[in-house]
Amino acid sequence: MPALLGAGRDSLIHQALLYGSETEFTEEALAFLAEGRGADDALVVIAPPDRIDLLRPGLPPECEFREAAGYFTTPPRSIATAVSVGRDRWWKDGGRVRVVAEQVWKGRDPVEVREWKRFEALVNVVFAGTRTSLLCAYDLRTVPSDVMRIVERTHHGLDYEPPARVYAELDRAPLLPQTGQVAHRGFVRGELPGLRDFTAKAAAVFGLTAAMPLIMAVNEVATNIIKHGGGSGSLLVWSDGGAVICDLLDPVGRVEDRFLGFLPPSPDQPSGAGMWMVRQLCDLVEIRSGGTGTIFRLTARLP
Amino acid sequence: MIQELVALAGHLKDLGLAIEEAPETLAVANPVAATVRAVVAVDGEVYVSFGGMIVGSVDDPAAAADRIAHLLGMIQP
Repeated sequence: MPALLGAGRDSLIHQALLYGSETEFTEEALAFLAEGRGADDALVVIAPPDRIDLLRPGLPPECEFREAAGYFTTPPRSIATAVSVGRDRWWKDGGRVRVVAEQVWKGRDPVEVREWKRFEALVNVVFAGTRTSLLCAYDLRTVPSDVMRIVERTHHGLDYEPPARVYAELDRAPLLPQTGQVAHRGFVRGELPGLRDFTAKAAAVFGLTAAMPLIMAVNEVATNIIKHGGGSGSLLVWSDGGAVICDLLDPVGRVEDRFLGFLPPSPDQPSGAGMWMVRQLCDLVEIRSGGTGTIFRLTARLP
Repeated sequence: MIQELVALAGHLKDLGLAIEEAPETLAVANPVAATVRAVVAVDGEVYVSFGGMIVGSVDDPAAAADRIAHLLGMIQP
């Protein structure tokens, strides 16, 4: 039986549709969207093409369809897209949006799966104050069991837990050490131009020629370490074969903001958007922080 | 100080690094370039530093010490 629980019209409703057949998916998703038609909500489907094909005949032409593979690229970029479209259209003038979304789990590596698990918790923080009804669909025949455990803990009406707890649990495992050839350099105040040049040259050695986004991200994180962290740090550039990875080490500073860089800055915000930008520029940003300092691991996939 | 850190501290001292011992952590600095240091703790079967980066296995403290020395040796004063 699908789990459809939750209530309220003026805040986020984040439900899960746990289905075991295409028929069940179609009936429950269309019923959920039909409620929004009566209330004049914006209707959106983000799903794999075969799921879109199941729903499209039962939906009005104004319903918006997005293919999951193109939308769920990285959690920060998916959040940015939703916030941008939502501010421009969905939530404008008191409007509400009703979304059916099905994630792509097949083909994701373990790190990607972990980050999309994190996304499930982040949705409850990022969209908490928005007029959004979100129905996340999970095919019980194919979704991994570890993902289902997170689904239960992040959707309203199930075994819900505070997002910060789920997020912290996903950060519990330390990051693996660098492998292979590692280019390294220390930095302090006044050395950022040299650090940018070093990053560009190291990234090129590992095969990343269009490295400007990664260079900008490294510059931003190093600036934060100098200004708000321990005042100095070190950069390690290496590759796992599929990506160029920059580790920025702060031996003293500690990150207190649990969701650093995931919450969208408001347009009139004077500062504090740097880590949001870093997460947009990189394919993956991992942060571990505690009593032994902080590591920022920035990943840029090779083309 | 816990046994795994005692073992690591011995190897770090042999490498010429400066050590500050605490009950559950080890602060390590390169005496020649001490502007940046590493604080090391034990997390299960591994040594961690920089908030959560594995620097080696507790089964091989000598290798972990080499890695830490390498990290600190690169840092410019």
